[in-house]
Amino acid sequence: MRFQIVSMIGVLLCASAVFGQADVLTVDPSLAERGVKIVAERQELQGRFPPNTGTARQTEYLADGGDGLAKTIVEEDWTVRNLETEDTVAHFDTLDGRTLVEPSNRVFLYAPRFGAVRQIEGVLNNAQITALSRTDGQCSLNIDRGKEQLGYTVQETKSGYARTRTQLSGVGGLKKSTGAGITQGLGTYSNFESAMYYSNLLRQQFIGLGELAYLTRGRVFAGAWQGTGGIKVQMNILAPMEATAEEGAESFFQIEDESKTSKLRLIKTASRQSAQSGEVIEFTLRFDNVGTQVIGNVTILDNLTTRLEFLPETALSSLKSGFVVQANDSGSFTLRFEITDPLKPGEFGVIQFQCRVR
Amino acid sequence: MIKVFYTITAFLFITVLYAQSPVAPFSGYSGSLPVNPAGLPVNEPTHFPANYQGSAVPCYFQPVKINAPEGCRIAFPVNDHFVQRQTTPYAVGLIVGNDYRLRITDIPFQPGREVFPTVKIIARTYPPQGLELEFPIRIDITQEDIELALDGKFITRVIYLENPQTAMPIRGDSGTQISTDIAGGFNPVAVAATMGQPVAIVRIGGRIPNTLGATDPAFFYGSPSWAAFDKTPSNRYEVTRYQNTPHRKIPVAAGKPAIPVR
Repeated sequence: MRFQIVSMIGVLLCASAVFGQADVLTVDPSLAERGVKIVAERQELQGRFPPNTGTARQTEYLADGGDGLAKTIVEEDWTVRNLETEDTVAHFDTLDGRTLVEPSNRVFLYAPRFGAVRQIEGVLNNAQITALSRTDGQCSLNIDRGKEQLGYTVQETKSGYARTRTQLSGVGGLKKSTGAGITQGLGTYSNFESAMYYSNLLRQQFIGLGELAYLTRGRVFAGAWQGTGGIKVQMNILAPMEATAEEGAESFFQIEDESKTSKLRLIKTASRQSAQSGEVIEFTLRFDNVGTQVIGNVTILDNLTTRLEFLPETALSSLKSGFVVQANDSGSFTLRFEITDPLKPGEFGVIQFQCRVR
Repeated sequence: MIKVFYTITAFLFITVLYAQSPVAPFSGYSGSLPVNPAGLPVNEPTHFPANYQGSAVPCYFQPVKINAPEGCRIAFPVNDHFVQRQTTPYAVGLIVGNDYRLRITDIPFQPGREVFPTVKIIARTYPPQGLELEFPIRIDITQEDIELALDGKFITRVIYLENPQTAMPIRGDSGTQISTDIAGGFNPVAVAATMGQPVAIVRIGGRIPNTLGATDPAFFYGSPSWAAFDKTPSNRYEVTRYQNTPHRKIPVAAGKPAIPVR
């Protein structure tokens, strides 16, 4: 018995140690299997929210981008499944016949919206009049007038705003250019000189050290508080790698990899940190072929969250591409950009569009 | 004998665990709002000393914007008296957990009449630094609410922070707050918790002040501290804090009893 108690205490202590473990940067273990050698890495924990902030903040921010709980899947006929509301992903075909999906980072926009639940209760008016009009020798009540006046109770049952939705809407299949959406004209994005806040990143392949703050600001604007929501930035690389459980844009890796890889990087930024209802936000998507091989059929999907309303005629693309707008089940829109030409290693494109905050 | 000892020990251990379970703040509340045993949101002050009047207020003044019908004037109490009737919308800072009594006068189409709603903030927001006053909790009190209250009805409004995952796909900039009416018998806080995070409770149509001239501290809930956010001509906010002045003790002359003896 004593041994059992000691064992239980030991298990409890071990469990506590595991759950109380600090946040540690972990790198994809498959990198080692692929022969990737990490020669330098740096991690700074800037831009994070303090721990234990609870769920209060999550309801105040609009999150857009990334791949949600259900992993987005592209089938052989390019049918996209599990594209949830708020997801922003790109899929592309490789030279060896595979179709890969790459999510973007998530952007956070402080835009709380308050609603109200109203209940109206009436005070019940009771008035009882009992008058003795006449008594005889038997001392009995001759007339008993009872009057109960029930006060009126108004229960407001407006049927306005009865439209509701469930969280997992927008998970349905989405086929490529099936005609279900509306194909719209796409403007040409060429204003790279004013490319938002981190010009080097959008115009060129690298990011200057002096632009780190701007990148971090544009990336999150509200801080990176999701597990893998950060932009993955690589410098001085020969081939791309993937870091998981990394939140900051301040982590750098210098790696050596001789293998041929197909990799797309998708970065999403928002033009504002916060917005009131009715204000317009400009989103920018930059996609880079950071692999060593040509990729084709690059398709970028942005399933907008409910409170973002896409503004028509605002979509721009720096590369020749098709553009389809399709209403999603959550009351917003799914934007689909189909890049026409293959993307060579090192090439990139920029997409911009505007949304109004509901 | 040893088995009996371990059984009793295990039973006592389980009893202690259950005895430390947190207490739900509201009956039927099932939302995601983290609360402590005092019924207040986590990280909020859980204890207000009874004699904190006049002392420094280390609490967070949650910005609140009260929208009433155009023309109405709103007043908050200080020292159990309403002061400074302000035009609507009125931006104030309220402390989480306190009940505030306010007075609304100059009601359109109801000359000379007034209502005395109460406001209770039950959770704060966490805006980015410097944007606190740009994103206050919005409380709308409509003309219909006021007229129903004047007609003898009791209106409860629970303000909630909408969950973006389940938000309704309608525009929120139409000037009217998204409002859902529920029938009597339901717990409005629990209903609001299904739509988001409840942050404030407004009650209209309750008590009216004592008309006999005597001040009723219970009517003002002790006049808790609050702050006024007035926008200056340079489009900046000027913050004025209002709090009760400390009660002065009347000195007793030497040699005289505190209570006169007849």
